[in-house]
Amino acid sequence: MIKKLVFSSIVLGLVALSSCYPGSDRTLQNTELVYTVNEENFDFSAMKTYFLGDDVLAIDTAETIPQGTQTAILDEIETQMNRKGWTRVFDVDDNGIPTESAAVVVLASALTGTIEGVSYWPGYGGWYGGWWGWGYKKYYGWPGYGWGGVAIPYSYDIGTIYIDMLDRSSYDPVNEKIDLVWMSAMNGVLSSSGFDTNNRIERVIDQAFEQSPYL
Amino acid sequence: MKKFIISTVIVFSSLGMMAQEGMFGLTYNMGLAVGETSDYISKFSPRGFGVEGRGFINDNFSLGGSFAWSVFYEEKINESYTQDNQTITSDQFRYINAYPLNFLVHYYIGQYDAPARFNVGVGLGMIKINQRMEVSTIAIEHNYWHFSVTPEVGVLVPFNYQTNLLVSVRYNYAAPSHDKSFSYLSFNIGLAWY
Repeated sequence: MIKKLVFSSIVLGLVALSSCYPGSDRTLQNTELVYTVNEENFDFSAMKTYFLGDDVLAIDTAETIPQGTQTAILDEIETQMNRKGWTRVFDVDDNGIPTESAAVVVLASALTGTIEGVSYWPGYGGWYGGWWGWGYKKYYGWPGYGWGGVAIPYSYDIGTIYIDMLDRSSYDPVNEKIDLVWMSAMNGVLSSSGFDTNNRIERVIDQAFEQSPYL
Repeated sequence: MKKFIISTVIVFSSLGMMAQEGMFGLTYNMGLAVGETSDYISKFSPRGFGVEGRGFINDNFSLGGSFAWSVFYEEKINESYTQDNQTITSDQFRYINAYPLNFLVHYYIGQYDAPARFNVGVGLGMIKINQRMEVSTIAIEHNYWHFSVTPEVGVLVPFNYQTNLLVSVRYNYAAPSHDKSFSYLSFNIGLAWY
């Protein structure tokens, strides 16, 4: 009987090992998410001119968006808008407000933040245990916590780019209101490589326009 | 997990007391989601195992208990979903971990010493379903117990006096809980010892 139990336990252990939690071999690209929403009653084809803000606004005012990142974001927005048949205009009034030569005003903003928590490999109670060892930031772990696995505190930086498209003709200077007609939010884990960051910026902005055929 | 282990020990202990002759089985389980569950994960699962005990109350009937763990996984890369005027595109990593814990009743066709003992059975009990979708930096999770019904067909092929090949196909149905039900087939192959 003892032999049976030992043998069974060995087989069981081998089977359990072969059942290692799948899907932990992910890349930063896997964290990308692109969301778009539009005002259904707005006619995007009526007058295809746009004014693009010169800077990428940092939503967290204590933060500065690197100039290279801003350039990558704005260049890709311009590329995609032009590809969709829009014409960029630059006219502003005495107060610096874009004139009605622009049908829409396009503004970009960005936000970075840190997500922290504890995950239990293989994947219970949280996630991103798989990032341990990637060397991005602050990944470390210790064995023996939780059942049958490893508790891995995680902390990783995420970044979100927002593109807002505003209906210039709806601008109310008295109440300082303007209608939002299209918005995109692009989210993902930041990398430590600027080169990769710019590639990912291009990819997610491209996707935002790709999934918005009405523009 | 502790609840599973304790429950399994209780089930098997009770079987040992009531059975004329006991059998212990260990199987490698493969799975295939069916019904609405296959809309979520359609990929065949090679990950799973099961343990079970059966106590024969006569030559043709046994009562028992079982515990299993099956992991279903599928990636959806760069999937776009549109609802009304909103569209979201991302990679999705979809999981289902299923932990059925059942009382078993089996009926065996043919004589006790037949070269292969085909059997039909049904399991009644509970199943813990952990359904999880990981998207970007968030996870959406359904993690609840369901009542379960598990009909099965199988065969025992004796290698010798004590050891049998154990093969079975089970339909695992998790009744609705928190607005979700699940179902999958498990294809089990392993050994059973008297």
